[in-house]
Amino acid sequence: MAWTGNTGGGQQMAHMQMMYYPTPAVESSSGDEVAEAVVNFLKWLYHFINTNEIYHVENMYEDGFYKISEFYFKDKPWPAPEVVQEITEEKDEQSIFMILYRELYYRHIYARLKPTLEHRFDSYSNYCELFAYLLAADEPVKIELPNKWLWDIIDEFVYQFQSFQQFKSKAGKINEEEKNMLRDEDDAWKVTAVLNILIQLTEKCNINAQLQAIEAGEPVTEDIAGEFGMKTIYTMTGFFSLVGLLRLYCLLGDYHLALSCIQHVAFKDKDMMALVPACQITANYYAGFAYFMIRKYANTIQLYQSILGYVQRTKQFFQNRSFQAEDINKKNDQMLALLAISSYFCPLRLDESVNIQIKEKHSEKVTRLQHGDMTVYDELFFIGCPKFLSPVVSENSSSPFGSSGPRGLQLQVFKAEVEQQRLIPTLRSFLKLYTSIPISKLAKFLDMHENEVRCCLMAFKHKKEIAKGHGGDQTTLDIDFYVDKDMIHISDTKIARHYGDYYVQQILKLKESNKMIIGAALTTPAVAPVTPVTM
Amino acid sequence: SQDMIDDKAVVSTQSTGEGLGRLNPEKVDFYIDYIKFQVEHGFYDGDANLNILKLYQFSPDLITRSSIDIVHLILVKALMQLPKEDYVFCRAQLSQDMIDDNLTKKIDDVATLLETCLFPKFWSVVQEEKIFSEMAGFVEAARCFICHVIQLTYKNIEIDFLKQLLGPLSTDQEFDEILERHSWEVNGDSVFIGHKEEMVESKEIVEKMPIEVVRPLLAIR
Repeated sequence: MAWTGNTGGGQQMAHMQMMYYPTPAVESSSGDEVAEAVVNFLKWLYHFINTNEIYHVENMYEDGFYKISEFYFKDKPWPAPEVVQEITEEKDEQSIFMILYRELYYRHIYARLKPTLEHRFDSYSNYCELFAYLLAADEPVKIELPNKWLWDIIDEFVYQFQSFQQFKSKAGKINEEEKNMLRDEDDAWKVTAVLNILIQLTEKCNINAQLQAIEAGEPVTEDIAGEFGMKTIYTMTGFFSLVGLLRLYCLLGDYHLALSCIQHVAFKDKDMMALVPACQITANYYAGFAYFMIRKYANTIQLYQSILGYVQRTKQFFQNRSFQAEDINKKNDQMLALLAISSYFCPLRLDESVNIQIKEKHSEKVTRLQHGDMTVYDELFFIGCPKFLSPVVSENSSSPFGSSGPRGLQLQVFKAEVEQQRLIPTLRSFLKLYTSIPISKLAKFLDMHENEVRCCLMAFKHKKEIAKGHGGDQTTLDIDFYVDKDMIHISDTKIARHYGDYYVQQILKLKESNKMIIGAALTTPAVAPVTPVTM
Repeated sequence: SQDMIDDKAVVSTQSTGEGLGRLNPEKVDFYIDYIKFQVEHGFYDGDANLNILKLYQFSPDLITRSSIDIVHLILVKALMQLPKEDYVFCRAQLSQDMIDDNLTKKIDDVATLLETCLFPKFWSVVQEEKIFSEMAGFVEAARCFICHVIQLTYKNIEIDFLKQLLGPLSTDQEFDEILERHSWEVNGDSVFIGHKEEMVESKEIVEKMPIEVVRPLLAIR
């Protein structure tokens, strides 16, 4: 439906939906012509953004942008910003619409094409404009944007920084011209600037104070949130920036600051985080990873179990978005790998569905873990860990995947823990067999001196205490014991058979099968009635 | 354009305030003096110390020949916080050069001895390095951690073994003071630490089904 300049109502919406369905594309050889559907999309988007009709903006953003990209711009960029300015008759190239359009434009290039160095610099400038628009304002801006779009902006911002660092570290692949550009434009994508922007976004809306109030069950007033914090766009951007900081600090190996970002964030279902599923998954993954690196495995297990369950339950909603689904599947696998290690060091009761997933993905590795194979830790860690970054990449930096690159450094931290845990699983498996055993006997089994065994017993208790994290209601599968002089007394924990999960899985499977059978029966052509043969 | 330059200026201004990791390279000397002060006077500020490591990570040009000494101080101070995770936080921020340094490796070995509770060996190793013997409060902090682990593990512990774990004590009185501080009682040739029987009570773990798991079933007609 062509743009006529008036804005009707529901009817307009229905017509608009039609225009996203692939119309016979106006394939032009010059490549200059913009397809009609795209023109309409841009005009409508421009209109709705300027009139703050957030419901329509959300629809266009979540649905239209994706579909049009798929159909018209699968392997080429969206129209250049100058062209779009013409189409929408926007006079000001620094207007918020143009800034937002450019963000989409570059995001598309990063996703489907390869960004040039110039793209990277221009995109960074555009982000500076966008954030300056929010931060430098004397009073809260009038525009409203859908939460998903705000999250994607922050997520993409961190991603493009990551991409830039990785680009710089591939010293061998940078040509001479690019090297000169890098030297000249050394302001762009500096780690301190990126962090600073995110921090300022969190401070603009006093997000930490808001979260503390929510934690305490108090209402969030203007006293707490400040003038800017009372507007959704600032609060949500601030919250998403917290998650962005969590992620960035993990990538830089700073688990202390990573965890301090989320100290007031409640990882519950009805939370700010739940408004955008991708945000929830990202936040849970990185928080769990930070806990994993500081050996608080119970926390990791708790977070990952709940988010994996969430992903299972909402899987169907992501099916139609191939990018999102891919991302989510990747995070899923990463969490499973880390869970395999965590539950080996800290046996906790895992949901049946999670157990099944781990078995499906990593059964061979889990077996090797249990047999004391020390090489499998590296493999699982590499699968589960994020793409670490170094804050400064010099021209002569080593590869990020080398032993002294950022990933190698974090691996060393992890391997220290692996080494410290080395004797504990064996100790555990022996203690499981007894309710009491003298130290001397255990020492014989383990082929160790008695004092070594005593120290190992203490190490077991020490590690267990750390892994507990901030407690909670997890059911531990682990043994417990105490030492009375030269005798060890071990707990006797029985697990009642858990049928519930299994039944739920089977009931749901049956429901699916029934659906399929009924569906098939309805579409099968009716069998022609057999007429009896009369002779 | 001028606007673009101003925009960049807005977002790159560094304030000197505290925040979620806002760093100011100009403050590095202040932080270095601060940790020396901590070492001398026996107190601890983990956040400030981590800031130094972060500054080294972000601005490698701040690193001088003597920076590694500061790193060592930070690591030992962090180690004294066991069972808290300060040491791991610090360790994850070190560069390969810092890690390869001989004294760093020694400190790391000591950290491993503590984490694996090989306390008798720990005491003999720390006597070999000045950094431990000259660090105010190190011995006390180590003992504090060791007593914590003993408390977790033991109901009764043999006196001789306990003394091995606590390391070289200058007087018997010191030993008695430790016992008193933790309310431990001498009982012949062993020391009573605390009742632990409830730890090993028979437990049966019963299944719990959270509502989210059951909800999909309720929707089935």
